Amino acid sequence: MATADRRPMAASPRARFVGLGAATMLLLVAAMALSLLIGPARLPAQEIWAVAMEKLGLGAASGVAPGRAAIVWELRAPRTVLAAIVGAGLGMVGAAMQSATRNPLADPHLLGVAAGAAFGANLAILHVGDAFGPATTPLFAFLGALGATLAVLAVARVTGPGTADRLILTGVAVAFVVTACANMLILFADQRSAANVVFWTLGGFGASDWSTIPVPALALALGGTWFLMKARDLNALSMGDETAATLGVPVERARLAHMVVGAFVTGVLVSVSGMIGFVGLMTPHAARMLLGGDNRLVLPASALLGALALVLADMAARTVIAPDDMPIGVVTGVVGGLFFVALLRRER
Amino acid sequence: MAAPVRLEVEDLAWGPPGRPPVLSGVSFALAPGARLAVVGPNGAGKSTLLRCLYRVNRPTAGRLRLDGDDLWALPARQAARRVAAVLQETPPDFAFTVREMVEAGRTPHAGAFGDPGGAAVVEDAMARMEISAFAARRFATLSGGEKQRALIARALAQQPGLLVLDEPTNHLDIRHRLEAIELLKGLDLTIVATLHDLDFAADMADHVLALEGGRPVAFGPARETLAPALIRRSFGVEAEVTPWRGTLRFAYRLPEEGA
Repeated sequence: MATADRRPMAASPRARFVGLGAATMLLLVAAMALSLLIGPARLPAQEIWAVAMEKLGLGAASGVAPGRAAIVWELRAPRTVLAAIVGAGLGMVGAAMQSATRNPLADPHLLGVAAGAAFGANLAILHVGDAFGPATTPLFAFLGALGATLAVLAVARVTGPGTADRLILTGVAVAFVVTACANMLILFADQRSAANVVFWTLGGFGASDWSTIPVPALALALGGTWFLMKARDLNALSMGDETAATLGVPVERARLAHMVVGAFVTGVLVSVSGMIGFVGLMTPHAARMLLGGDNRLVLPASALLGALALVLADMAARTVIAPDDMPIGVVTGVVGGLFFVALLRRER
Repeated sequence: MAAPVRLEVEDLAWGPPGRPPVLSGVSFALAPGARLAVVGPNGAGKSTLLRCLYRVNRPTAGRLRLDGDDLWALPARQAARRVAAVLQETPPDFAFTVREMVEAGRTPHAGAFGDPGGAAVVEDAMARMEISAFAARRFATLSGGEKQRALIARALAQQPGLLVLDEPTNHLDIRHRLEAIELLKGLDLTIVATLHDLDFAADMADHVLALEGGRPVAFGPARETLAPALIRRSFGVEAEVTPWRGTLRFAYRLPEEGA
């Protein structure tokens, strides 16, 4: 999945990383600031900046009416922050999963994460209701993702994890069964609430407030630290199982650990955002195209690009059918698919 | 660069769990800096022996000793600082540059605080393999000979005492094969390589181990061991062995019917 470009890169990957990182960071801040402008309530830009500056401790009291300030700071700001966190997590986990499985088509939802989260969410939305308050669906989705991953690992003990491909195929097999169960939940439910399932599955940040942020932020920080510490091992794993072994990496154990950490982080992210495809698959490819293969650069770059991608996608999701939200999975699906085609064309 | 190691193999055997061994009774010793060619027909157990050496196949019996230390009793990272391997794996392209490929050789040396001095080792390994000029190119765009040199550079960056190579001359044209052999002879390392081509085995190695059906059939100095009788027995062909400019050259034909 790399360009067949015989020219040497103009600058060293590290120099490019500094440039790209700074540029992406600027774009990300700009996009997050702009995203505060978008919403059904038409607020003047000056008021929005004044509120943002006040809340960030960078400016004097804005004097904006509390109701209008709340729209900016309690509705729009956490939403864009959450989009950035989820995008960063999916991008980074995607890069790690692709290296750990040596499969350029791997994405964060491997090991049954997607199917398990859907099962948990269906159960909550259709059969449990808000038994545990507004956190019910995220909680069930996370437990579902975790349960499915554990099931994959249990089955892998029977089939023997062996190669990366066997582990992925085990994940696929388990995912089929779990998805069937999740669909069964829909069949036995009130059909009117089935639409809510579709809406959750396609993902979105409409329901987020500041209380949503800490858990995914912590998962991103912990997972990110783990993967960055293991970046060299991930490089070795992507060069081949036997090669990695000759480089001192305990291949099966390391791969399993990376996939479990990745599944855990993704489970947390999915539980607050629903299923968002393509970001975790595509941003690592974009990062490698720009920077080469070293995960010490590709992991943080994938995180930054993923954050930028989801903040932009969320802005689009809020704009296209305003004042309603379009599920963000629809946006990332369309844009991601076209991006993929463009990438394939460039690689030809 | 680490000093070349003394390698002792004692009654080594390996087989998949629950099946009869595919390699057994292999014993030999190499002095530091010796170069061994492992020869034999397909399925003789050459790759299995190599996998025991680069720690993918844990021996089911016997010992491998590096300067007296049991190779399989070492932690993985320590073992990887003493044994490096150049393999024929072809993973999908993850866009690594040549330098990143060679840097991977520092994996067993790098700790939580990075790899002090590692960059100089990487540059030195690339210079020795004469690939510094395309350090920034993508590994996937290199020719076969350049790739092979980059992989050897990665192995050198591990600063090993033993270098294991699986068919290092495969897919190389005549000139690049000869160059690869010269390059290996110039390394101050103990070397174990599988080689299908007996010409190159005679060029590269000072010792030869012949395997057949997972068992050793000959071990000794290369010139004496690569004799027509061994070749007939191992490969089922008639061979003529000619001394040529300090090495050996081989000509083969199928045995005549009824002979």
